[in-house]
Amino acid sequence: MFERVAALLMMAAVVAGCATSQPTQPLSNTARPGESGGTLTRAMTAEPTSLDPQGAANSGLNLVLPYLFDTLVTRTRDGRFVGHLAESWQASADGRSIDFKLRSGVRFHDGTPLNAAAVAFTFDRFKKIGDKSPIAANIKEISRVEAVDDLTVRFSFDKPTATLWSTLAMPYAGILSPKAVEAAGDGFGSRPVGTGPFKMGEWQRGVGITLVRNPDYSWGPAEVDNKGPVKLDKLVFKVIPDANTQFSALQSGEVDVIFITEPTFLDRVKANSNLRLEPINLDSLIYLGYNCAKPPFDDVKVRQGLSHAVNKAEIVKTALGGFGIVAGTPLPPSLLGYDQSLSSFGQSYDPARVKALLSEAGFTQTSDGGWQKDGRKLSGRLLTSTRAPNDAIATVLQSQFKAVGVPVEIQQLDSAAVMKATTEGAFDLLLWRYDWNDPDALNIYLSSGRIRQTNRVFYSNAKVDALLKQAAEEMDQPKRASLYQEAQKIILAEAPWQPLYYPIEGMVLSSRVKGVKVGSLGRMLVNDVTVAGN
Amino acid sequence: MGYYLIRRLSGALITVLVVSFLAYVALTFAPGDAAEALIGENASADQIAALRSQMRLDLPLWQRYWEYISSALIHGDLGRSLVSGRGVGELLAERLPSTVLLALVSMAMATIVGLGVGLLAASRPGSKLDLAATAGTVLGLALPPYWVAMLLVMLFSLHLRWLPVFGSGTPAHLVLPSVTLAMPGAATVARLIRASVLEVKGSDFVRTALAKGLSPRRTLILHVLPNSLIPALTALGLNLSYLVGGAFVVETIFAWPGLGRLTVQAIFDRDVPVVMGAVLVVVPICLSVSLLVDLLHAALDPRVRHHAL
Repeated sequence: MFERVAALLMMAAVVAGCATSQPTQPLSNTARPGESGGTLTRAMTAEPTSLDPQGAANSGLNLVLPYLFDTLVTRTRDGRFVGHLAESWQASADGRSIDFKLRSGVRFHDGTPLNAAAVAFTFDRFKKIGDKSPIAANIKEISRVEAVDDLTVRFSFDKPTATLWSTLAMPYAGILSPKAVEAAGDGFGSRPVGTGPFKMGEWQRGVGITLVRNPDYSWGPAEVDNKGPVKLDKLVFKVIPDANTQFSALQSGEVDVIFITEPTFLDRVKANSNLRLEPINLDSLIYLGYNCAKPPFDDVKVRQGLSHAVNKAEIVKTALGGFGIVAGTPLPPSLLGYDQSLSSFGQSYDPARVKALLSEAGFTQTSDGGWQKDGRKLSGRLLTSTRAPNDAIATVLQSQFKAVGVPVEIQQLDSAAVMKATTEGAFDLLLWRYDWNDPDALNIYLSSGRIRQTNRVFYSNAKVDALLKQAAEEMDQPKRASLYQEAQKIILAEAPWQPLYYPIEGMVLSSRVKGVKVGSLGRMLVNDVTVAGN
Repeated sequence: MGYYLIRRLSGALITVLVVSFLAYVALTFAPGDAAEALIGENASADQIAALRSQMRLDLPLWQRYWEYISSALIHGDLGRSLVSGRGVGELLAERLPSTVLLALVSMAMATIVGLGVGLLAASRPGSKLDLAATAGTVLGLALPPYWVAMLLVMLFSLHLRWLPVFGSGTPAHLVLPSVTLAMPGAATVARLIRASVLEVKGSDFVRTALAKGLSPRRTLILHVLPNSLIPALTALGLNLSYLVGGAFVVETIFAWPGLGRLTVQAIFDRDVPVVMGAVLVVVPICLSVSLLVDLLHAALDPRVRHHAL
């Protein structure tokens, strides 16, 4: 009797389950015959809060922007700046103004023409509302933007500004349709209108963003073969917060492209013949920073000594599974001023030098192998964020310091909390990174004027400050490069940072996808892409 | 009854105030604030200070909480997100339906499967069937949802290719998240039902009913089941609060566009109005469910009716 009621209930559950478990619909890729190239679906970890290029840069905004907006210039993967919406430019003799000649025949998605007035409008708006943008400080260095004639726009400066091109090439500096901005008001971030290869389609909050092909596009950037309209019908960004789920979705064919940062996926990619891995070098550096304002790390010999304890090759091998390039200099290879030979000014892995330098700094080694000076033990707290693979790197660093007798405690906080702690100086060692497309990064992160802001390690050197300031105003590229090289020599010797590695990101593609190219900042260029039907 | 309801509702209002104040204080004392989280890596101190005063983050804690809670509760104005500038009411309204749908489907699954397994196990205590059911419920309670979800995806999405890995929008998308979410609830209900059915089956009034010649089936439906449901009902009520408030892990794994993900992202962004808005939605839902459960309890059990109401 009981059994029968129970069995009935079980059956009801099974029936209810079956009713909902129909096989999955054929997923996104239904390529039509002829020219159309189907739909490309990309996973993204976090959803942008807005698609207004001049807003704050949180949560993957720059992933979507390059497809909706074009910039005046673009940066090629080898670090050159080439025209895009600007065909050419001419600097004045004193370097205080630059005239950009715009490409003719370009139209925004709303049909209005791109002209000098639209460019001036874009940058005027940026100065008014762009305080939250990562390039706000660079935009402020432009004193005026004005239309000279319909297709010529003049940028004026109070002082020569060598960072201009990298600023203009950032996706945040995309050119907006003035008509659409005025019509949308506060809603422009939900209804963005630019000149890009895709137009805004549907935005389903929490689920994804669909962009649709711009059929009038004929101004593809220098790096792609197809300058005309893209072949894809749609470009879809799906919000998938979990990295494992992203990988499963790629395996099942529900998405076509994911980006991986964790080495754990590498073997699984290699084992799957339907997937293709494309390693992407980023304009980024992961570094170990010292709190230069806090004893004993204010002593250059202590910093140098500890830096000699770091075995970068081991970090790349064990913590990253080879997913990074050992760094010798503060600037990554893709930026102007990079010179591999400068690494000789820094500290290579050498435990014997650790002992010598700590002794010179007045520390004595105790019987248990630890170090002390004036009765105080040499130890430290290593601060980093919870973002993978920081925990793995921190653990390797901890064991490397332990091997030379320096106990290190790891503290992992979320990013907001780490930034707060560093501006307050509440740390000893810092495992952190920067991502920037211009060597001015050194000025942003290491000049004394930025202490308690972006200079998180409280490093201060008047000579370095002067070199970086001079470099930011040097319009001649070879001269500018040599100024950054001089600055790097001093920085490496004084060791506010021990550069650890230049990160590599893995773009993993389904084999159905053909024609993806990679641009600067690891951007996925889809102008030539087709997706085979499934 | 009327007095009881008034007492419960005023208690609920106090609970909402206390919980929201605690949430507010916790957010305030978390290191970093929305201005810093929002403006990112490359801001100057002036930029942060300007933004902070624009967001009114420079006012004292009491004043901010009072401004917030009075406009929220009296005028129904939940404010705007500090990050996106969009209305918090709008943000919550986008996410709440997904969360409620997932919670209700999981709840239904937990109830049906829990009841079925519990009754089946109670039908032959000590048998192999009972043993299997008990082992199943232990696993259901002990396995972490994260791991269960991965196994389900591997089997049903990657191997059999029956169900999508992630997302929302069709009934097929609902299956794996709701099964994952329903497992602990189903296990709890099954264990409670088994225990209470066995207890009730042994009681005098069941024996009397059977002795009077009532068929075993009618005895089960009329006498055993209603009496066995009471503890399970309480557990389900508590479980629904978990489904609405605690579904974050499942929402993250299956990219389900629910309230949990919105709230956790808002906590990372120190986006106080969004977190507070979620608190002001979730807490009253949980309190209403708990009130509803108590009222149902009274309806099922006359003893409770006489004591409490």
